[in-house]
Formats: sequence, structure tokens, C-alpha cells
Amino acid sequence: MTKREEQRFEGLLGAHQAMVYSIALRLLRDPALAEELSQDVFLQLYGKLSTLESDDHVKFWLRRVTVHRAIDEARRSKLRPKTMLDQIPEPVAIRREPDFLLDEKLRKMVAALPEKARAIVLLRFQEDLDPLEISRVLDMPSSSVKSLLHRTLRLLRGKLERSGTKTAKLGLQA
Amino acid sequence: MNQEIDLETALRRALKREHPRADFAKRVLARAAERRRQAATRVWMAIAAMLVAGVLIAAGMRNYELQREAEAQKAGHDLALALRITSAKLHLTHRMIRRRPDGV
Amino acid sequence: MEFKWRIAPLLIVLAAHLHAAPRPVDLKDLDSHALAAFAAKASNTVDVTLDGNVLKMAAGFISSSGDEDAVKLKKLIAGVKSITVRTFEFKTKGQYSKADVNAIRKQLKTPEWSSIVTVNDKESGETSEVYVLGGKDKPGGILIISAEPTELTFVQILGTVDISDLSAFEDLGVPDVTHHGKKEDK
Repeated sequence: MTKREEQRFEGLLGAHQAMVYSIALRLLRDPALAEELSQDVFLQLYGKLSTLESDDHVKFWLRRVTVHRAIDEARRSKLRPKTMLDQIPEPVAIRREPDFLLDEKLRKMVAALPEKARAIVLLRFQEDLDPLEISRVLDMPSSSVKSLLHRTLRLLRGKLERSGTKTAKLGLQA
Repeated sequence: MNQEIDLETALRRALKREHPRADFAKRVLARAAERRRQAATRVWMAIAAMLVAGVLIAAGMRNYELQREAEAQKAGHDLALALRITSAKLHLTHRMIRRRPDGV
Repeated sequence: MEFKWRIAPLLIVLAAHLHAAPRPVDLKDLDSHALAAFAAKASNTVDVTLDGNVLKMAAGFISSSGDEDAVKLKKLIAGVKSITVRTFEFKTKGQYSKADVNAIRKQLKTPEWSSIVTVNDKESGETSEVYVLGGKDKPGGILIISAEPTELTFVQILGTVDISDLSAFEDLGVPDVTHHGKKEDK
């Protein structure tokens, strides 16, 4: 690897470490495991960097590799038993909860989603990708992405409503 | 429609990116450097193995050539000896014929 | 009719045997008690067998010098298939039996060999016999049996060979190793 490539790698590492780590963390739900996987992904990039010309290409490659490796790892580690969407536990009802409690509640609900649904939610709301971009990352039809995203949001909304969360703040009132 | 927008806003806030530990990049770079060293070592090991193999093959071939040369030299000397003896015996026969008063 | 068919294969085999070219007895393959007896009493022996690849290798080695003699030698042995020489040197006279020499002659001199010269010098006690194998233009082989009081030599060359070229080798540059390079086996 040339000096120039070394510098490019350092720049990409600084720019994308939060993205890679966050995807791994939310899919694996284990900070140590997420960091190890993130390091492995960057080392994989280190060996492949000369074949990835543009930074956009690198970003797409990092997202794709991280998501697939994290899903595989989550399935292999059996971090959680297979959960169906309707088996997600109901959150405890808190009236007029502050934002940080609501955020925690949402993160737990997302963490309890099956791998594919969780990956779609992450790519949509953490990475701000549209369904077409998500379908490219996950190698699945965009219609399936849209359908699964819609069902997941409906489920999350239902769970939140049943937990009695202040709907006015969330605007979830029926 | 308004409901979904609010849920999406809440999800965006809840799922904002998190940073790894401060020395994350440092540790990745250290592992990359280690990998580079290992790769370099493997290259040198392969070169050394090829050189050793080359030297052994060259030595083997030289040994074979020397052996063939020695065999050829011995065969050459044997041929010279055999022809010398044959020639000497033909000359002896010739001399014996000439010694006889009646020829053959 | 049936009888003829039965004996047909037998007749074919018989005809093949009758028409097959007779093969001379090869000196190098001779397993003779007499040769062993000579070797046991000899003070010096020369035992040279050259055939096939070894002969080619020897020719290659000699001709590699590229001089005139080497070229002549290469030409001489071009048609030769094998060269076998057995020489036995004795310290004193009467150490080998003439009956043993006769036994070897009897084995080697099969009918296909024609005698071209046999010389017996009673005064010196030397006997020399030269035989050749039939060939189209040149002999197909040469057999020499030379018996001197203290030296016995058997030479057999199989393949096309020119006798006059062969006898010229004393004058050519072939190294004189006859009395210097002998193998000591006693």
C-alpha cells in the first residue's frame, strides 16, 4: 500500500467509524462485539481499498459489508431467540416521559426486532437511506423493503400506543 | 400521515449514530500495520523458500551433470582401451603372418 | 483337411525358426567356468563392455574434442552395437589351460562366424584367430581370440565394422591405456 493510500485509509476511517460502529452496535447489541466487527470491516477495507475508487463507493461498500457481517454474526451468535414482530414485548407504560426515556424505549423496541426488520429501520432512520438504497445494501427488492418497513412502523406505533406514551408529544394520537 | 412523521422523528433521534471508543482508529491502524508486517514476512518467507528450492534444484542438476560427465569420461576411456586392445591384437596377428615363411 | 488345419500353426512356428537370422553368442553374456578360472589365476584383467547408451556416451565423450582422430573414431563406431573385451595377464607361462580356451572358442564360434585368419606360432607359443560375421559390404561383427604364453584376449565387436579402420587405431590418437590403465582385480 502506498503512502497516499495509507492517508486515504486514515481519512476514511475517521469519516466512517461512527457509521460502521453504530450499525454493528444496533444489530449486535454488544459494544465489545460491535467494536471487534467494526475493526474487522475496516481491515477488510484496508486490503480492498485499491479496488474502491470513489469515496461514495467506499461508503456504500462499508454499509453493505457491515450490515451483512453483523446480521450473519447475530444469527451465528444466537444473540437472541428468533422473534416475530408481534412477539416484541410491550414497553412499560410511562405517562409524559422525557425524551431520553422515550429514546431508550424506542431503541429497545428496535433492538428486539428480527435482524432484517432491524437492519431496514436502522438504514432508514440512522443512515437516512430511501427504500431503493436500502434494497441495494440488503440485496432485496425495494417493494419488500417498503412492505417490511411499513409493517414494522405500524407495529412500533401500536406498541407505543398500548404503552400509553404521551401521544401528543409523538403525535401518535389516533 | 402526521402520526408517521412524528414516529420517524422520534426514531431518527433515538437511533442517532454513536461513536466507538476514542482509540478505535488507533487500534485499527495498529492491526493494519501488523497485517502489513505479516504480509511482508510471508512474501520474504516465500522468496526465501523459492531461493532455497532454486539452490537445491541447481545443486541437484549440477550433481547430475557431474555424474553424467564422470560416466561419459569412464565410458570414453573404456572405449579407447577396447579399441587399443583390438587394434593391438590385429597387429599381432599381422606380425605373426609376416613372420611365417609361407604367409598365412 | 482337418489334419492340415491342425498342423498349420506348428508349420508356421517351424518355418519362422528356420528363417530367423541366427544370433551370435554374445561374449558379455557368456557365463563360462573357464573365464572364471582365467580370472582367478590372472595377475591383471581387463573387462570392458560397451553397448547401447554407454557406447553412445563414450563416442560423445571422445568426439567432443573435435579433432581429426575423434571424427574418424566416431565414424568407425557409428554402426557398432556392442564391444566386449576380456583380457587376462599372467605372471608366468602355463597358468591357463588350452582346454579352457577351446571351451570358450567352442561356445563363441557358432556357425555364422567365418574364420578369416588363424595363425599358430609354435616357436613363440602364440596363437591368433580372427573371425567375422557375414555382412553386405562390411563385416557384421568381428571376433578375435588371441592366446599368448602370458596373456589371453577375447574381443567381440557386434555391428558393422571396418577391420582396416580398426587396425589403424594403434596409429591414431586413441590413448595407449592397454598396459597402463588395466583394472587390477587381484
